Amino acid sequence: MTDREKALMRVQTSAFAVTEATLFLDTHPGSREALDYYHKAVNEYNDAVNIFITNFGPLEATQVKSRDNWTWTEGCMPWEGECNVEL
Amino acid sequence: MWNYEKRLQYPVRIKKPDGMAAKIIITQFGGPDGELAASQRYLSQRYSMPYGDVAGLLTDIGTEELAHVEMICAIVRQLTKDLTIEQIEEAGLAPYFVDHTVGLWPQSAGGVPFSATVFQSKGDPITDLTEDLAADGTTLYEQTAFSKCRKPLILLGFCHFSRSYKPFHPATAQEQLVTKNNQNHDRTSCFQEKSH
Repeated sequence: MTDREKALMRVQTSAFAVTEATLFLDTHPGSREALDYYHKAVNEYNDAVNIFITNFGPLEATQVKSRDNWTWTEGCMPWEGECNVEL
Repeated sequence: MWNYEKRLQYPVRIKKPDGMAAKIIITQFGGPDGELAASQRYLSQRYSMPYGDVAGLLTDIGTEELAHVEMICAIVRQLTKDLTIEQIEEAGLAPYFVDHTVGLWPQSAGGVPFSATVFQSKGDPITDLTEDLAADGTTLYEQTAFSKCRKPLILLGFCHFSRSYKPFHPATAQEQLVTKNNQNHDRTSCFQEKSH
């Protein structure tokens, strides 16, 4: 797995945990355990996103770092196979 | 409003084109119980949902369905993009190709164009939620029918199952997903086996 693939996988894994925790909390807002898990998952997701966008370009249009180049549309599109991790 | 994240919810990386598989799987894009219908079902129903927590849930599920639309389209795109004209004819994709070439267009496996008539939004919370159960149950059925061959479809089956039948506890959701993925699903997909 390349460094980019590892970083992307970490974003995808943590984001999935955040999504699941979100949906669970929508119907179980009183669950202390789920809320703790949510915050843990969000921290992991934020770390993963920071590593990815620092090294491999923006995941969202507001994450373009360069003052000289418009990097948002650079690189592969996510629906292309080569843009994805092989599992 | 929505923000776009430039990544798939779950990786899709298909090595060999397979028109036959694409012809079937496209129904999860534009078919009666496909992801496009699912997203519009949830996102249309939420406006008249009288309970804030449920309206929020419908918003979050509908949003995730949009990510599922993208995954299905990625699957179909990768299955079709390198097909030769002969393979397209062989797979029975000529009627699709003549109108759309290998562009993505929402239709069912039978060629019926996507239509809002496949979902309901009645302004009654019980009616709408009952319809959601029926629809996601069908989606689950269709997606697990292919789950022996492709991990992304297992993921989608998992998501729809957890929405409709059993909310996964977040602390175990990741583990359950990993377990599901590791359940002896052969790396050689049925799509690869079928292609020549």
